[in-house]
Amino acid sequence: MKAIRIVALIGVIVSVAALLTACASFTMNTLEALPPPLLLAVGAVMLVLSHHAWVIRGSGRLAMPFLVTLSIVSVVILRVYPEYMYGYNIHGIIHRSLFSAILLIATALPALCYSIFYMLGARPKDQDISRYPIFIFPTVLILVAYGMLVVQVFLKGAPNFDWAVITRPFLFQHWSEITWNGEWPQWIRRSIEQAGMVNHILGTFLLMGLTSAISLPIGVGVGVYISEYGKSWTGAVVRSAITVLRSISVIILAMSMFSLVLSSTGTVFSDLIRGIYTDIVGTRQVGRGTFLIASAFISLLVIPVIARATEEGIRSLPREIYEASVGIGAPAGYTLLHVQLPWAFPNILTGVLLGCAEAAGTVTVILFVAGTGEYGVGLLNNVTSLSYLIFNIKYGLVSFNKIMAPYQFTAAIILLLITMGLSAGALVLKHKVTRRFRGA
Amino acid sequence: MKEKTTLNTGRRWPWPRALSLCLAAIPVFALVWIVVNLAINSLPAIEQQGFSVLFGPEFSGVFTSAKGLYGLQPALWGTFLVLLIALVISFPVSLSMAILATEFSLGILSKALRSLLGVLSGIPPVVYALMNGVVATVFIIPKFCGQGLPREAIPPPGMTWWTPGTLPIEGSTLMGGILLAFLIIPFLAPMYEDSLKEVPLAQKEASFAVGANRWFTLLNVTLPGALPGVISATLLGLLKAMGDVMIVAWVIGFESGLPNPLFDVLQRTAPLSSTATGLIGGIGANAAYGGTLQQSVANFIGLVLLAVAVVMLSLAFWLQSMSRKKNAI
Repeated sequence: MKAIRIVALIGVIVSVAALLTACASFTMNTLEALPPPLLLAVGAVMLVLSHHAWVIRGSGRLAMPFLVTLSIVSVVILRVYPEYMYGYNIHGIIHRSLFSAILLIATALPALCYSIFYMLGARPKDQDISRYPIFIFPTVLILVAYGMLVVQVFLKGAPNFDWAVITRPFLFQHWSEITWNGEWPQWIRRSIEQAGMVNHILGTFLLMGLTSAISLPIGVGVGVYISEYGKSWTGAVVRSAITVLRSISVIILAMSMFSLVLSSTGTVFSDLIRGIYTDIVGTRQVGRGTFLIASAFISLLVIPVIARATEEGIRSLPREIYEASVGIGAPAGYTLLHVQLPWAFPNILTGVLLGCAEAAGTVTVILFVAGTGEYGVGLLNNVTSLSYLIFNIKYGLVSFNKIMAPYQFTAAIILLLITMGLSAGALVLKHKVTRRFRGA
Repeated sequence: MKEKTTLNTGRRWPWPRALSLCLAAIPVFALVWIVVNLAINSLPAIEQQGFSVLFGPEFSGVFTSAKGLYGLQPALWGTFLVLLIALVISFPVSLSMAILATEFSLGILSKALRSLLGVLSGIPPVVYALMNGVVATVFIIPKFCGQGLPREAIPPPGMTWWTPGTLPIEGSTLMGGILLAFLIIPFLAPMYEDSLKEVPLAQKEASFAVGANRWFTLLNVTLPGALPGVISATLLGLLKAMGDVMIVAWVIGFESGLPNPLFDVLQRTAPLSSTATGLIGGIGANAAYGGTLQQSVANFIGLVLLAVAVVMLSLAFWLQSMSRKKNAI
């Protein structure tokens, strides 16, 4: 009994080493010597354990012999395979360590479970503890990947982080001024090129504010209608429309807004939809899409979130409180204003915060109409935001790219701080909501 | 469940009903306008190309001004490939996260994991797209670097994932799928958690009462009971991945063509959403340059996306109602 536990302990150590090697093999090509011996060691431990299970305990299944076979087959595959696989017109050369990583995980993860099981003494309740690695391994792997993704934004953005850039607007204009030299006119070419992102930051905040201002009343109204009068056919229509709006592709909204902007040219609504601004020289220019219309379309994305939050909040109101209000003769409107909506307020606020994060993070909706943010921020100015800045540095005009390219990751840092802060705030609020008074 | 009794209170002051109906009508009318607008705008494409061309394999490029053929088979195939990769990566990870939060709980660590997922769900898609350098330097280039990549796309020696400076590499279908998986994991895991919680406690207790342990109960009671909910949550997550433009436009690009070995994910096969973006004519200042036919085809893609979304949504809700019926006591 003692000996099998020691063998199982060796199995745990070998399997953990094999899993670590597999993780390293996903990024490194130089660990080619390690997988075959590790696989063989895992197979040997599994052989001993399966002998113990079959012969001594008499309760074996086919899993451990299968693992032994798998380890031997894997070693054979890794020996026979060339180091680089290419051909078949595949656009790349696939390195062998990718397969060795996959084979290592497929062998070592079940082997780790069985080794823990026999190390603890093979009681039925040990099976629960021994199965934890199956769930912990992918979770930890992907969390490390997330950590690398987020940390890299900060590491790449830190060297170019500059307060001056953050606090001044982006400017790019070339023009000529006429001065009179005696009787002769003289054109002086002037230009101004300046990297900056204060308009993008302010624009992000304006988008967040406008979007929540538009979507809050509509979202609350939809939520009230669904939760109070949702049993009729109109309620079903509203509910399905909200669901479809939440899950359609954002590109559909973008195309609809773009066609609206194109068709509004020359009409009365041109200033409202396309916008108008004055450039540096003083010429009035027609924009490509205002903050107002952009936030109206973004709020189509946010309304379902707020509606669902409101509905949840009103549903969570204890029946006793509702009946107490109605029982003393309060009309429906009074009950709604003084009992139901105050109760649902934290839920609604959660929805608004998530909606703000959505408005700050979305690019696709404003993709076709946004501008570079040279001419200030206002209701009728050309829409722009930090997230659009990040995308525009990738695919925008060369002149824009040349000036702003070093500050792509700076913008990403600010955007990440805004959106992750908002979602963290929503999380804290949700936590408080679940802990509040829930009736007797 | 007990029926909610209707109280006769709305007679004197009916304003909440009228006001909320007026407000609730706004998104409905907006949706109707969007659908009608898409349909009207996609009429020229249907008239000039016909369905046999629109669903055919020929796609003569996004940035060509010549009147070409615009078949959507490459884009549909690209969507399928990207969603498949995202699903293969995100499904096991999200399911194990959900199980760690409910059945195989780790105590305070599970709560921390849940909060962490909540914070991670705030990362916007465009930042994921910006993060492609990590995936490239850590995974794609060491494992797949080869003849498909031009010489200047190979990073200089000593380039690590934290070095400042962007890679010249554009990426591939595989990278788009990986980044989409990162995008949908924070949304899938809580939904899986909900569907695992929907399995009634009485069934699990019955399993425990006859002496089964947690692992046996998970495999034989909880997961089969939660299967419809898990499938519907997966469909919703795939919808989110399908609707995303930023990642695929950044990493895969706008051009579309069927890859030569069909399953070659190292080529770039643009999915529907980024093809539509390209057909409108690029972004920002370039947006108006797309021709009329191209924009009409983009609107037709919007209709296709809408139809797919409606089908997947109704399937998801049918499954949810099935599971609710199944789990009702």
